Amino acid sequence: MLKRRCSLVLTVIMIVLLAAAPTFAKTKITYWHQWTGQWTKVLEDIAQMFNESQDEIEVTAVVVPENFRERLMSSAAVGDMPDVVSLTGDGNLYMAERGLFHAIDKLMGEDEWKRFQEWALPVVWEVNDWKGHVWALTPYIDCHTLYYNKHFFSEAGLDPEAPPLTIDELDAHAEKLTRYDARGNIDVIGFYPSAGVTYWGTVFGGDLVDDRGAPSFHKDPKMLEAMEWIASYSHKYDVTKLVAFEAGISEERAGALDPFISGKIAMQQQGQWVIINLANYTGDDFSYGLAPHSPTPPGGRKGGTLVRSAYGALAVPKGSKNPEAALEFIKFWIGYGYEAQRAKIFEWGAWMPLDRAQKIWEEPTTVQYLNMFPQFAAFRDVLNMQSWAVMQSPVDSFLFDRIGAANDYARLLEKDPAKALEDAAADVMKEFDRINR
Amino acid sequence: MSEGVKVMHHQKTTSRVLNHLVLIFFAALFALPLFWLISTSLKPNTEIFVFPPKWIPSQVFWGHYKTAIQFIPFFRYLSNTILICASSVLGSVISASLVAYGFSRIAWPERDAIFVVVIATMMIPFAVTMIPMFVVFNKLRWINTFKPLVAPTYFGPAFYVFLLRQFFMTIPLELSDAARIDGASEFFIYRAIVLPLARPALAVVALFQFIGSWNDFLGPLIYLRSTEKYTLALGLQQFRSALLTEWGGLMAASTLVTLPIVILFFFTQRTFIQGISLTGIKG
Amino acid sequence: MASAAVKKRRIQGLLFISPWLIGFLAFTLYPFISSIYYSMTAYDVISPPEFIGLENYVNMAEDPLVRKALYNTFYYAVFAIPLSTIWGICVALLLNLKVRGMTLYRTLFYIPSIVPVVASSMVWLWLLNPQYGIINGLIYLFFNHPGPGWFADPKLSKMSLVFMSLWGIGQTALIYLASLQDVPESLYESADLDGATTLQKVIHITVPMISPVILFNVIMGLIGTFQYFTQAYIMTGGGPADSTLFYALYLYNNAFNFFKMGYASAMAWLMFLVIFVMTALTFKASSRFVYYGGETR
Repeated sequence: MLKRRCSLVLTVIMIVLLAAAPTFAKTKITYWHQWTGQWTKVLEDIAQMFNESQDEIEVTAVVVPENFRERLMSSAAVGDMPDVVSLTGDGNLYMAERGLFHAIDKLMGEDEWKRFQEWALPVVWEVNDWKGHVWALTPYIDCHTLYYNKHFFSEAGLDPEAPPLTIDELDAHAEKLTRYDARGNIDVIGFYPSAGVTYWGTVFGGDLVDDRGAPSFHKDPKMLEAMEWIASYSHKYDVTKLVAFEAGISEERAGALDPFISGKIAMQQQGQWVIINLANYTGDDFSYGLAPHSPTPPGGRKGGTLVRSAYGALAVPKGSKNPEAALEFIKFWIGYGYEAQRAKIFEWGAWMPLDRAQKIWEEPTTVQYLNMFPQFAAFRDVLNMQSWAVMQSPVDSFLFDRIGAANDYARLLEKDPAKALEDAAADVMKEFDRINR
Repeated sequence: MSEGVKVMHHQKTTSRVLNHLVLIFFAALFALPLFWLISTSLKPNTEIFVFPPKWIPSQVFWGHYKTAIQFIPFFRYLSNTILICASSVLGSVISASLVAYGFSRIAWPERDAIFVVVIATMMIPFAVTMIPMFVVFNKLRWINTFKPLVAPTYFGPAFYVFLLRQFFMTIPLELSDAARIDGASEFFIYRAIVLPLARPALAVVALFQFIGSWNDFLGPLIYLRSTEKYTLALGLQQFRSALLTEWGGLMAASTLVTLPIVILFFFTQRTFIQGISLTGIKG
Repeated sequence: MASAAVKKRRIQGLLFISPWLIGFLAFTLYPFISSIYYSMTAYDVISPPEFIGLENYVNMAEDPLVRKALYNTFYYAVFAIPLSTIWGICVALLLNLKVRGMTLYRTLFYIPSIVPVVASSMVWLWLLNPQYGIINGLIYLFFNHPGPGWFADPKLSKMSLVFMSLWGIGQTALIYLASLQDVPESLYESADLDGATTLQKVIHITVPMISPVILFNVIMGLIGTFQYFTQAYIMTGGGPADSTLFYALYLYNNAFNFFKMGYASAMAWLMFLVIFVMTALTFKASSRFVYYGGETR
């Protein structure tokens, strides 16, 4: 009896030890991201897939939905940093300049860094390349092009197979597609430049800042052209009506209430992830097309990829206890050395493959996925055509705040476009001079 | 004569009906957003954004309530909020009554001069102390704990001290003197004589503090870091993101957050108003 | 001679107020004074503060956004404080009527003060939605004209927020209500004998009798208005076109978004001075209007 109990206890101890052994050996790291709601689960799945891919590192994904940067700053002050973060919001370069993050290139070592640069698309690091070092890598980039509702095209007598490719064509189409309701409100809008001057200015071929990160948008004729174009919509459609329309739809960019799905917008410039949303929330009677590239004026940037470090770039804080392990997870997220898993990640979240050789596109998972959603091919072309990074600036949080305000002033016809840009630039320049003194 | 009484009676009825009509009109106006909140929380997604607006859902849809408690860890946030509220209420009631006692029931020379300072502190905007306080709490390693939200209530919040002092002043001093002659200590007088008499005023402090903590947004926003420590006020904000606003879920969660307090107020408002009245804020 | 007794009472008094005293030193005085120091530094929380003298104050004088934020805040205050005073008294008078079911009425009126700001903000954004909101729906129904853009219109966004604040009058109205119940019935009765109308009674009896409470609420309103933050932060984020960039919001942005804690501290000091001066002026002006006759209870 006693013997039996003893052996039972021994067995239990053995089992516990065996089960615990690999856990003890694993390096544990924490990963902060901002994906709320249903996405939290997807990020957890990604972490789990990484944990299963090897047996040395165990990553825990933590969602930090609100006031990400403040949290990071105070964690830095308290000295309790996560091992790896998806940076959210602006102000990242400012923190990087003050030595909050490891230089990724140094962490990788010269040889591997070289190999990585040969493997990945330049946008992955370019957006976070500052004064010779890279302080973060971007795991997902958004490709944009024009989505258009074929049904509306036919009704307006437009060729549903010929989307607009220039700004002039876009404007003309938009006018034909716009409809008003009995109250005189805009019921369906053909198109309107909701993305603002940061985005469209770049598409028009302009730049926000110079190499030092000082504001240059007020001196850039392309930026002004874009700003004037945005304001032209407020003139053409009556700013009150346009604002009213916008306030009714602007919140919803995903889910069943997406205005493109509910038939409130006939053409919209959007990213690749919308494909999934459209598949989930529309029936067979909804037919849409994708322009081969975003509408651009002469001299504009035809491709549709815009990258900003604010959109989730992965960095390793200096406070990380295991920077090596953190780096491994970053490589995993991007797919460097983990092509098969990255194909899965593409499938889970429509996050485009980032390898130059496009091997991930050939993975069985991706091929199968593309059979289901052939529309992604259009975005692959967009990605191959051109991609660019919005230039960096150490005052970017203030810069984007002010350029957002400038966009408002011009859009609402409160200020002349040139004046709006100049005022914003003057404010930002002051700030730039202050921190560079 | 009887004719005159009749007319007067008639007039009274008319004015009573009129009073009710006016009250109902304005009450409806005030309750409209709550009504809209509840009604939207029960609408299927397809009816949330329609024109003309649907006042009453065509069919009752409970799905948003499921979203409300699943989209955010609702019950965890609820228990965090209740914990913060309860500890703050306790802190405010105990500390403010003690301090108010010292400012009203004991005569000492510098008392009134120091009380002026209490009133002056109410004038200091939160923003002035917010940043240094953040630094202090950071040094104390209190960031990401409930302490910065709760601890200050244990040190006599000025507004409540003011309220309670005004009330304590109205309690006849003879009561204390009689007790003192019997050899009672000041603390005994505070606990056994003043506190029982001050019950309605303490209820006011408790309710103001409770609602204040329940709805506090800026405090938790600044001091709480990890999601599992969030309060409901912060949790509600999570229904909005750059990508998507879960309108239905947000409305359902808001209803769940609001209703308990509405019910609480309904049953306690008499004490509440009596309490404010007795404290005589008129200063 | 009496000094022993005085000493004892002083010690007892100090003991009782000691929680406040400690809290004052730790959570008020220390932060208050150290914010003077921070206001004279360049401080971003990440790196240690660097002393720069009065530079923040000089920059503030030249900052167009500080001017804009001050303008917005004063604009809001000029409408919100008087309107909420009048409206608060009106609501209190309504809730002081002697009719059946008053408990329910009072609860309904108080509801907006209970609804979490996050939730009520959402409801209001929705109610005042230019195209789909109920308010504009009603405007169209009655006037056959499309309503304005409300929060989306820089000319109306501040007024929309004022509207919202009037709706949340419950707490203030409740304090007025309590004070109304202290006005002696006899005063109204003698006025009735003189044949006074309701309006006359309100103006000549009620308002003077509750004037200390009005002062209290106006000052509380003043303090609250200059710190107005939450609704703007949640609903408008300062927009459109900076039209709801209130002082406290810009201060918050500087502290937590633009890495300028030092500058934010300087801004906070200016805010304190403004509130202090406004309060002092209000007190001074009030001495002529406020009636302190009934304070012995």
